[in-house]
Order: sequence, then C-alpha cells, then structure tokens
Amino acid sequence: MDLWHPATMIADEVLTQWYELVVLRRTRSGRLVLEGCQLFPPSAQRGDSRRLAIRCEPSDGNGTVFAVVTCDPPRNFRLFSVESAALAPGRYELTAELMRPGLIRFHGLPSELHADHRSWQELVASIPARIDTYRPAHLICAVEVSGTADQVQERMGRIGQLIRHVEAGERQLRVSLISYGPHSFDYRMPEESARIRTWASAGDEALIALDKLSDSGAVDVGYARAAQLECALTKVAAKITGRHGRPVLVTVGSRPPYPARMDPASEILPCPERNSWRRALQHIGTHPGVKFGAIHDGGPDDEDTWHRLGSDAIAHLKAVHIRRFAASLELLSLTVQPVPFPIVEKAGS
Amino acid sequence: MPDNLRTYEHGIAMWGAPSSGKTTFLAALSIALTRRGKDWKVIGADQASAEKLITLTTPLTRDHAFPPATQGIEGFRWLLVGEIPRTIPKLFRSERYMETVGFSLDLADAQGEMASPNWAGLGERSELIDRLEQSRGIVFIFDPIRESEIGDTFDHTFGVLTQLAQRMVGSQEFSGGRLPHHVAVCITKFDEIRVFRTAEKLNLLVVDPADPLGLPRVADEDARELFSQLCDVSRTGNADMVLNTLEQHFWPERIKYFVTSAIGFYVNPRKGVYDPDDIQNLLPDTNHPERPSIRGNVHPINVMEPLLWLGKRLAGVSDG
Repeated sequence: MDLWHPATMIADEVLTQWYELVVLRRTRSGRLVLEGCQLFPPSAQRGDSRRLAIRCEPSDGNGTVFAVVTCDPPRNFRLFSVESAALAPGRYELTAELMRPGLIRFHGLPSELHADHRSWQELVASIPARIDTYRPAHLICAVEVSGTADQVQERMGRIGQLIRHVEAGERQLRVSLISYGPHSFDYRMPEESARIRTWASAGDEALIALDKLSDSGAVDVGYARAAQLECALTKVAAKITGRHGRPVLVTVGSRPPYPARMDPASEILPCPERNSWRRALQHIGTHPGVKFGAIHDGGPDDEDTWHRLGSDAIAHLKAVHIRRFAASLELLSLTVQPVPFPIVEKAGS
Repeated sequence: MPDNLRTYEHGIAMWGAPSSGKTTFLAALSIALTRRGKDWKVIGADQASAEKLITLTTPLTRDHAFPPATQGIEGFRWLLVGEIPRTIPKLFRSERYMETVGFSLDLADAQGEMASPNWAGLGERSELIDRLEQSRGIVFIFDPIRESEIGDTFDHTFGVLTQLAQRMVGSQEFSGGRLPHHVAVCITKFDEIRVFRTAEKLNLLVVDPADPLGLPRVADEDARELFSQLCDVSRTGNADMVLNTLEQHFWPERIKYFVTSAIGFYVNPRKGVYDPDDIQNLLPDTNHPERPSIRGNVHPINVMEPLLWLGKRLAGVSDG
C-alpha cells in the first residue's frame, strides 16, 4: 500500500526556477556590474551543492550582502532572500547547499549570516560605480633574519600583514620572499647566504614560505654591524624581469648593508662578494613602475640608507599603518570604498 | 742558550698607556721574527717567560684572538738573540765575523694605569720607573686610536719621564740634561682605518717590492710626520706635547719612529694578496666590544724592526 508521506514528497521535489547569487563583476576599466551567479538550475535536488570563489571588499557596518534571486525564463528575477555577514576583505571559498526548494544555506564564511532589512533599492544605490584597479604587481619582500628573536618575529609579522592586506585587494599579485642575515668574517663560523625563499608565488604560497622562515628563528651569530642586504638586492636585481607585474620592493630590517669596499666613515667590513646595494637598487629602479618601501628599526646612523630603501614608503617596525604603507606603494587604495556585494572574478573580465 | 752568547747589562723596556697594544705587540714580535726565518729570535730567559711567550703567541696564531691583557708588572725576561757583524782591525785587512748577542728583553708589560698620574699603586709605578732606569732601550707605544678617543698619552708620559729624569739626574749618563736611552717610538694600530687613511692622505704609503703580500707600510723616515699629524686628532689636544716631551728628555738622534701594526692588514687566504678595498683585520664583536677578534692571519708590520734597531744600538752598531 502506498502511503502518502509529506517528507518523501518534499525530498523528491525538484526546483522549477533558477537560483542565483547576486554578485558584482569588475570590468577591465574598474566599473562594477551587478549580475547573477548561478547556484542551482531548475533540475537541482535537495542536497545539491555548488562551490564558488568570491572576493569581498570592505563593507559598511551592515556587512557583505548575500542575496539570492530566483529566475523564471526568460530572465524574470525575483528577490528570494537577503542576508549579510561582517567579513574581512579577502577571498572566500563559498559553498551553497540546497537544503530544500526555498532554503539555501551558505558554508565557508567565517561569520554567521543574518537577515538584512535594507531595501533592494538601498542596496543597489550603495554600489560604487567603480573600484580602483591596479596593474598586476610583484611584491618582493626582503627580510632581515638577524637580531633578536622578537625583532625577527615582528618583521615576519609585518610582512605577513602586508601580504594579506594586499592580497585581499590586489587581483593579480605575485609575491617573492628573500631572507638575509649577517656575513661571517670568522673562519670558524660558516654563514648562511641571502636566500630566495619563494619567487613570484601566489600570496598564500608566500605566506607558507614566510611561516617556514619564521620557524627557523633568528640568526644571532656573525658580524653584527651590518646585514647582507647588498647580497639580497643583488639577487633580486639579477632575477627580476617585470613579467610578473610591476615590481614593489619592500625591505624589512634593521642593520645597514655591507659596503662594496672599505668604508672609512662606518668602518663596516666590506661585502666579501663586493656586492653594492646602491648599484643593485639602481638596477631594480630601472623597471617601469617600480616602488620601494622599507620597514625598519635601524639606528639614527642608518637613516639615510633606509630612506633610500623606502623612497616611496617608509615606516618604523613598531608603528606601521599597513594600509597606508601599501597605498603609498600603489598596492591598495587608501580610501575605503564599501562594496555591498561579493565580487566574482571571471576570466577575461 | 749558546755558550758564546754575549749578553748586555741593560735591556729594553716597553712602555705605553693602557690598552695601547703592548701585550699584542709582544705576542706579534715572536710571530714576526719567526716569519723572518733567520738571524733573530726571542727566547724565554726562564721557564715562566718561555711559557708566557707561548700563551701570548698561541691565541694570535691558533685562535685569531688577542692575548689577554697583562695585569701588573710580571717581569717577563726574554732574550732577543741574534747575530751582529763585528770587525777586528788588523794591520793590512780587517777581519769580519758575526757575534751572537743577547739583549735582555725585560719587557715589563706594565699595565698602563701604572704610568698614569692617578695611579694609586705608587709602589708598582716605582717598579716601572726602576725598569726604565735599568734599561737603555725603550719601546714607547703610542696608540693613536686611544689618543683620539681618550687623549691621555701625555698624562701617562710626562709624570713617568719627570720621575725618571729626577732619578737619573745624578748619573754620569745624564750629561747634557738628557736621558741616555734609545727610544723606539711605535705608532701602533696602523691597520685601523683612521690611521691608515691618514697615512694615505699624507701620501706616506709605500710597498716593499720584496713583500709577496704587498702590504703597505710607512717608511721610518716618514713615521714622525704621521705621528705629528695624528696629534691633531687628539681628544685633549695634548698629543703634540708627547712628541715634545720625548724629544726634550731624550737625545733626538736616539729616537726613531716606527709605524707598526701587530696584526697587520687582512689578506684574503683565497687570493693571497693584500686588497686595498678590504684591509680590516680587526673583527669587532658588538656584543663584547672589549673582546674583538682577528679576521685573518696575523701579518705583523714593523714589530721586530724597533727591537732590532734598539738591539743594534745598544750593541753599538750604527744604523748604516
């Protein structure tokens, strides 16, 4: 005997409409276009899910809006649900799950979604006409690993902050990480050379490399009056091509570089390889659009050096306004433009 | 000790301000003579001095470290042993031979404070003056770096010389109102950039063509000029009085100036030659500024020459 069972009936029910998430798309010129991103087609069933990568820009106090619309053929949209969540700017892997017709749950967001009572007109009106677009950038971070453990950790922390901030806003970002410590002029003490930890990698790969480097700790041996900055810059100068984007060199450290030859003023021993940081910096400076930033905790004697290394943006290690710093390097916009909807990037957009 | 060794009654004393490099100078002396390979050597006159010679020299050669500063007058007794040419006048043809001589290197490495007017240990200062009185050769150490930073060489010089003169005023050797000693004035730390650059600016650098490493030097004839120029950067402005005091108390013809370096310039072992772009052999330790080390091998410059000069003068051999 067939029994009529409401739960069985609902479970077997299929959609009769399209479900779409309201998103923004950024055109090449930076204009923002409102459109729907398909979640479930009419044939979808309970339990179906759909994954999509979104990017959230800074939002206003109400959070980023996750609005779902239904669509009847040919293109007859109806607002189905409007929720929002306070999310930090950045990329998210969002999963939409069809619980049943009329109920969609989102997973993968670090904050809870809550009902948003703003009117549709209000939401649409809050979309900026455009957001700043940046050319692809190649962020090259040179970090000094000599000094105290706290100093080195703080430097790594600043680089991590910078990468995360920039990655959240920059569409096409490649990151390189190079570490450098002191030369050892003591024959009993082998030295570790300046070393490229990762080159032109995605931001998350660079962050993994940064974590590994951070785990290695500080180098507290060797000649303590300078660090192999000249060797690090020489390696960067030799490897940089510009094809990964506009180069942005950020140096984070304390000690001055070794001079290429005997320096009567500082009496710092010369670099054993005779590398010149000035020459390397000059070479890097020939790349179109290059910017130089420095975060340092060096002494007053080394101010001039750090000002040259940070000719576009300079900050003290203890007091870095990362957003402002990144903005000076044209990696981010200083003014926060709230964008109410998530952005989906499409190839060729 | 050779049986036919002729030793002299009066020896050589070393004298200088604290931290002026006396101990290192002594240690480098043995290395310099060994490098020379013939003629002259330093030996301990007794067991303690022989052991001290080893403990001073070993850190320089093995550990690239400076020997520890000597506390108090320890009265090492070393002998500078070598051969000097002698001539016996004969009726038709003079006979030449080599005489083995030994000069007591009673190198009282006096801790510098003893020469200071503020030194409370008057007994030990008196001991220093005893040693200077007993000697006829003095190695006077002038540290231009210390003078530029502290400027106390004159303080360490004037009082001692005044007391020494007062002690010897009744001596026959004091005739003419001057002390009888031969004085080798050693302007040390030539390897330090500031000293080196001063010599370079004065165009005083020369290279001995026979030196396989090509290390720069300042000719002895020009050493006094360098001393005089370095006096200008004295912290207290008193260094010029050191020069005058020395030349007032000793016969000018018995004073000779030497520009010296105990550790010498850095020579990259891979290249094996001196590189004017990379000269520093002193390796400072920022965590322990009082304990610098030495970067490469030690190549003493003009360390044995003052002693050989003193030895020959005491033995009555002229410069020529």
